[in-house]
Amino acid sequence: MQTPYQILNISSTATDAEIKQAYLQQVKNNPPERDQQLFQLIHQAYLAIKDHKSRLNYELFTVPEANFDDIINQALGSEPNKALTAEQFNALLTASIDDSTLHNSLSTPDKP
Amino acid sequence: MNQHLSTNSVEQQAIKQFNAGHFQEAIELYNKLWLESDDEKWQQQIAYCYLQRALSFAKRGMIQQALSLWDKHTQNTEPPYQAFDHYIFWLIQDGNKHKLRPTLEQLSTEQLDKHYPALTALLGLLTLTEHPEFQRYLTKESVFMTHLHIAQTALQAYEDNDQDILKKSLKQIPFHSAFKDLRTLINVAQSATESAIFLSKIPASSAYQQAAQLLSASTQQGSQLAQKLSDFNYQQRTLISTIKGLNSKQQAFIEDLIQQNAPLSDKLKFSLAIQYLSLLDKKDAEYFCKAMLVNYPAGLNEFNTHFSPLSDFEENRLKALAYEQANNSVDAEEYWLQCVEILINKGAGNDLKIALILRHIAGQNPDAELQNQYLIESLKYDPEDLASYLHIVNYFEQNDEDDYQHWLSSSIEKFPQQIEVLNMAIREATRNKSYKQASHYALQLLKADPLNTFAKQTLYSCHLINARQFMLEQKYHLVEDEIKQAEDLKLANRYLIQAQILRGLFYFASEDKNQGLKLINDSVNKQALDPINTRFQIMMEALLTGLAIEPVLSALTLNQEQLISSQALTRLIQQLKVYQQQTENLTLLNQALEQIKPALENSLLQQNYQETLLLDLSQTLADINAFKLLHYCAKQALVKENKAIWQYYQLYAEVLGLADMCTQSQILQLKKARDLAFQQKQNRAMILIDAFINAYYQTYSEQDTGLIGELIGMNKTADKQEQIIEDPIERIFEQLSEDQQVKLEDTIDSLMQQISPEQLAMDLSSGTDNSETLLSAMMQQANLFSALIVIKAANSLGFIVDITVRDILDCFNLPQNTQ
Repeated sequence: MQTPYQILNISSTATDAEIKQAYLQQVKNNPPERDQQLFQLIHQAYLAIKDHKSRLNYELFTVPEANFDDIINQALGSEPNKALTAEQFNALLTASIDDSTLHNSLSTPDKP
Repeated sequence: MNQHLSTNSVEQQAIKQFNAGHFQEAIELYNKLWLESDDEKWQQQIAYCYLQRALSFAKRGMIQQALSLWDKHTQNTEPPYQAFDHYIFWLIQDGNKHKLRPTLEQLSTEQLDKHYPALTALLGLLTLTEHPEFQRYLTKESVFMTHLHIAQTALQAYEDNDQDILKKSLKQIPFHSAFKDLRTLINVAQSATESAIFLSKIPASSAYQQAAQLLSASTQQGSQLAQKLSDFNYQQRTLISTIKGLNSKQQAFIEDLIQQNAPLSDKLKFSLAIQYLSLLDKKDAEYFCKAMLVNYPAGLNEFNTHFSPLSDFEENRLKALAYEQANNSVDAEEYWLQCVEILINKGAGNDLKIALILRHIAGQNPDAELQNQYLIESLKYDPEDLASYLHIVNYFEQNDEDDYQHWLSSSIEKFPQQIEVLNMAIREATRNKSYKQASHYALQLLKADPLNTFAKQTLYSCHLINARQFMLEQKYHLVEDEIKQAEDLKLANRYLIQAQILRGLFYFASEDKNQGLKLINDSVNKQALDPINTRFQIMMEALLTGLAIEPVLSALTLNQEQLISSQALTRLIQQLKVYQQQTENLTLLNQALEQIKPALENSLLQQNYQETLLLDLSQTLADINAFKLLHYCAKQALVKENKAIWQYYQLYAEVLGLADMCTQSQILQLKKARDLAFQQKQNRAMILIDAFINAYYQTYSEQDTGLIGELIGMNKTADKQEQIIEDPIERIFEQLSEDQQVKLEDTIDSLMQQISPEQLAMDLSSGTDNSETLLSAMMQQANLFSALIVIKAANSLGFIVDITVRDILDCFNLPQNTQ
């Protein structure tokens, strides 16, 4: 689940004016007639952090989101995908031959 | 003949065993037949049974046994063998190189290219990877071998990074080739883009399926990669991790993840985040672990070791949130209050936080009084919170008049421009008939919200009220201005009609009677579709302005036969409510209502109004003490449907809305109506009836103790000090347990419905001649009947009480010969 800051695409130190500007921009990009649900999400995000009191309320009473997938994503951060080298491809073909390969092939053999 | 019968029988048994999957038993029976007749067909059956048994073992992963049974199968039959591809699969699976070579050499061109595509695909994959020697064993004349060479060329070109030859080679592999899936794999491996669509073309049964899965995994990132890797063995995971460029720590993280059984516990997630902190951004890790503390508070010490230690405030806040998540608002409140205490001790600068927490606690607390207390407390720290003020005012409006006035005044003082506050102020001023104040607030409200209809309506009403007052005081020179100001508010047409009527009455009273009547007639004509309402309005306005209505009415014609539509009835109800609010004199209201009574009764009889509309009308009539009409309305509604609410309104009208006017039998009727309301799930009826019954008992200084309470009360009134001690009814009840008292009351209620005074007199006088005297006494003193019912009920329940009928008669000062 995204935080209101993420939804409005602003930093957690943004000022009231910056938050409002970001909100208006998001509404412009995602008008309610296009996607009512998304608009509601943006609107709720704005209401949650629009001023000092709202932000304090949000900070005090919002249960912090603990997304373990985010932790895994960060821990396993890797380079963008690249084409496999021939060596890697051959290794992959060889590694693929396991019981499941034989079992798969055997599971639907052609009738004698 | 017998021999033939015996052979048939054994064969049938063998078939039966075979069909049941008992191949060994079938083999034994066929062996017996073969020994007896030396017929080759039995040997063929034996061979077939061995094959089926081998397949059955292989299916269960018992490859060695399958191979052994295959040998027996071949001993009993001649090539070409059935399921020969299975046999080769088993040899490959078993790793039996010794037998594999001659077997592969036996594969014909036709078998390779046509009959066994799955086997051929697997042989192709194995030849390209672990078993290049297979190509020496397989027939050179096959298409398979041609395609194998093309695939090898493609792979070589891949290695040499010769894209032209690679593409050319891949194009040469046809769709039906054993290497078609290899072509797809190479194409995907060569591109770094999304692979799922292409890889999905490789069938699940393909020898290349696992390679496709590995290749797909190599395109994944983060948690999806970890998820995919969990499907592979360690070597495969290592290979993909290497391809992805993951370091040893990351690989260890994956291994740790995979070793745990999903779904991971909160504790484990927390521990893994701490253990692999070096792979994470410390701030993100801290945020994650802090969030985990809500569900895993035991991790606090470890958290404090690795990150900035949590403050007492944060610790309590997280605990409060954890309890809230567990729907335990009681414990959550305790931790929130600790947060408040910590913030108070910290000193200035935390006031807003304290106020917000107190409001949060109030929001979670189900007790309205406590909610209110927390909100009041919160205003000490943040006095500018409008929502809290509104909540507090609303609470006190329903619970405490003095506090309500105080908080409403404070709210108006603090938020003089706020629409919600001004709305409340107008409502309150109107309720108090402080029209000057109401006008003032309405004007304020219009400044804040120029289109506010409520403010306009209020102003409109205030102007008309002023106009009426001026007419009453015969200050006619001021009337016109008030009416003009009301009209200038440009409200809907139905409002303007009222102003026009008033103007007509004003002219009628002060200037020109004919012009006045003309204006009134015009307004009637404008409201041609709603003459009843208009007539009511004219009469009401005439009465309110102190004009004699007869001359006005005589100038108007009204067809009392005309029916009132649902819309018109809704408007009439609305008018009744408005006039009720504006005048304390309900007599005037009833006087005006009387003029349209025939039309209204006629409509109630003939029109099929919706129940909600009738309910609204009934309550309005009850509010303005229009009891005759209310009785008529309830009676007509009861004819259509027997509902408790109509029984209530009918009875309410009969006693003119006064609970203390009820007789005992009416209270019993109400109790029955209440039971009916309960059965009909009519909450509103239940509430109204309960309130009325309670009002009845409160009048007689009794809580709802039923008939007995009344009887006791009656005796107390007669002679308090003595009767309290001597009262036989009380004595009966003192002798009974609470359960028995409840049963007794129920039985009394029941008997009251069932038994006649004659029967009771007969029962209690035990058939003696005195029954008539007793009946006569009951006729003279109604309460005697009720008192004697108590004795009858106690007797019928078998309760042992030392009170006799005589005691009761004594209590009523009746002579000895009564019984």
